[in-house]
Amino acid sequence: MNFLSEHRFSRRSWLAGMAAMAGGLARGNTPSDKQLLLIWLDGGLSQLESWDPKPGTRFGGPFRSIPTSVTGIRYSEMLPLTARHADKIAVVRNMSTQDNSHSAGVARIQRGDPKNRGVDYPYLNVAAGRWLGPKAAGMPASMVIKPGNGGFLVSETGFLGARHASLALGDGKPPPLLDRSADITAAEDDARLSLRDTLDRIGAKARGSSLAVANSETYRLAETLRSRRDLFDPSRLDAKSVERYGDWDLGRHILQARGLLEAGVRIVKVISYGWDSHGDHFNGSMSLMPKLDRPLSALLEDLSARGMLDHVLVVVFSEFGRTPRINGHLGRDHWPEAWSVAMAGAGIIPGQAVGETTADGVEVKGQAFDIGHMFHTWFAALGVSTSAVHYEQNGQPLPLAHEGTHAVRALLRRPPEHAK
Amino acid sequence: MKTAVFKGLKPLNLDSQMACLASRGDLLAAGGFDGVARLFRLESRELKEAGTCSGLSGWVTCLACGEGGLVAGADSQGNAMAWRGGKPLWSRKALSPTWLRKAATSPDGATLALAGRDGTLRLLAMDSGATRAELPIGDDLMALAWSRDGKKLAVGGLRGGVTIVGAGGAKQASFEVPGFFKVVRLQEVGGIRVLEWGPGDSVLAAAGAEPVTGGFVEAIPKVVLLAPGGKVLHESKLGTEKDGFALAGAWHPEGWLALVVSGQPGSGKLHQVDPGTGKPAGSLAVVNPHGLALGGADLAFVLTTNANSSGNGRVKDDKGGYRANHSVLSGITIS
Repeated sequence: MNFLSEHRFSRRSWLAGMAAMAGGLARGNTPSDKQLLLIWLDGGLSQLESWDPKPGTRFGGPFRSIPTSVTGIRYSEMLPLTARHADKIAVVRNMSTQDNSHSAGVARIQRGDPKNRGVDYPYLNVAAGRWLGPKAAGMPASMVIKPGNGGFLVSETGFLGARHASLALGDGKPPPLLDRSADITAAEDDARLSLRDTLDRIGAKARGSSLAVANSETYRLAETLRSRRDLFDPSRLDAKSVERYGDWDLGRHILQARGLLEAGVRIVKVISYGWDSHGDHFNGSMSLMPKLDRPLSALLEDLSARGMLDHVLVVVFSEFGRTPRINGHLGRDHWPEAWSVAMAGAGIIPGQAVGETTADGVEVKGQAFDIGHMFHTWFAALGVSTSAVHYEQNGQPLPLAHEGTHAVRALLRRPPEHAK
Repeated sequence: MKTAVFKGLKPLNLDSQMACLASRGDLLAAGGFDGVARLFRLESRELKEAGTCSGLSGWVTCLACGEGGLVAGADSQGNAMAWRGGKPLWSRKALSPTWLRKAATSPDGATLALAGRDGTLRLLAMDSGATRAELPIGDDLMALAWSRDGKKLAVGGLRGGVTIVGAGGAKQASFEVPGFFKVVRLQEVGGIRVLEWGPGDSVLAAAGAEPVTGGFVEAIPKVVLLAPGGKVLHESKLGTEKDGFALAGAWHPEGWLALVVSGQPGSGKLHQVDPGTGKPAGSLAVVNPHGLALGGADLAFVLTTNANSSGNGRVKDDKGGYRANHSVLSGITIS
């Protein structure tokens, strides 16, 4: 089956097919209940002020480390609430990746591309959506919550094409123009949708454009979303929960993401901007880190209490870490050489810190992991075998995750055979 | 007002990065990222190393010099300490639960004022460390200054508030100075970073920056000259958003305000601010300045970070190792 063909089929039949296939791919040959929540801190979270503190060293900065709920594992004092949930978290401290610019790093980390494979791979949320499909009938496979504008994020889809694009809720609000105009009846709307589908099919045949397919499916998706607009309306968030998660965009968006997962959205990515702290970094950390700490700890508490950590994989990551060296603007610059990601749930072994860095945080000590290792690991946690399935692009098989890397055995309760 | 002519002297390279600078008479003290303060004596217009003060943790974020070689300081982990001749005199562990940012000695040298992120002003006996008064003010307190007559203090915060407190620790007044604070996405940016009482305590200089962005942090350095009651006398921007924050200041004996501003790595200036207009009358480019101390009427010392301090990814030193930055203490003549 060529997933990149312009063959047109109804969204429902396509979704059903994908779900069935993904179910077959999942362990146990049962429809997968796995879900994914990505928290993307755009700009680059400092490993030294979060998961891998080095107090008292020349690059350690002004802050302390604090004990966590796991004996022997310490986080930065910037994460006091999350530290209470370290028993639910696995931190990988030996990340060493390739790009020290945003322009390359943002895409390559999210595409799982440790070396440029010469192919425009889909972002993790799109790729996971492609393999797992929708979880609940009518709900989209993948959604994004981000500050600013919403819409379909076509640029994330790579060679999979626009119809796999995640729907982004700008500032957590419902998609624009979601509601049917009061000027037309439901019957008239149906007729318009039918006409649009017909024209899109003709257009897709003529132009070979996956955008036409995506356009048509957008309108179908809107039908579903209208009936669940409570999920997409930040004004309907429970006030007590908003207080627990934090009344700022990252807090509200993580809370909203929890609701989307509960409603059956398979994959949610929450994007937060403003982490590129080249200047006044330490004052910035004192302002920024609590805005992550509170909602992340509330999320872990809630997912755990609701039994959702059994099947929801949570990943907190960025395009790189930040330099140990402190610049003349009291900032930290871009550092892909030795940094950290954190994850929880869905068969990730919690309560550990995998890998380590040198005492001053400059180098990875021992084995280093690139983003390809994480993609193998995360797909394995989601029940998708990176050795058994592959993409096809115009007849050419393409691996889900880079062949030069492997799943990290130490992170997985049920590691695949290729894990090391 | 006569326009000052600044001229740099041979800089002194320090062995690590420093967070703050304080002086009294011929004594200078610089607080390090390594929890150690370095002492220097000014002899024949040259700085001579005069020992170290150990015992603090994290960064030594603020220092204040008293009489007879007494130096007090505090750190980013809430500890405070004093030394005489480099030997510990007293120590207050965990005086604050968090970052203590500013220290200032009363003009008579008897009282140490400390303020920081927990929003509390603390007054301590300089010679014993005993608490004399505590005043919860709120906000993240980033600037602190005793009046010249020693009867009051001004305390400034992240959100642009100034509180006037009596020498005994009683609140007298508070007012807002607009333009020093902004919320950019998740980040609260800005703050009044400098407060300095001018001649006769008739003017209070408040300086910091007008924030433009978070993250990268771009901010336009700014100074506001205030009457003691908070009325704005003059307000002036001291550059562009690349120039960042006014981080340290001192009134020159001839009645003008010296300010250092530091922004994007490699930028930075020492300004002579005209008290009649609030605008710079003269300036000297100085790379990455963070601290300032005057050594009489004809000498200033500026604490800076070395040039070429930034860079993404691995920046190697000449031996192929990972290069650390360091501070530089530069003397500048004023004529």
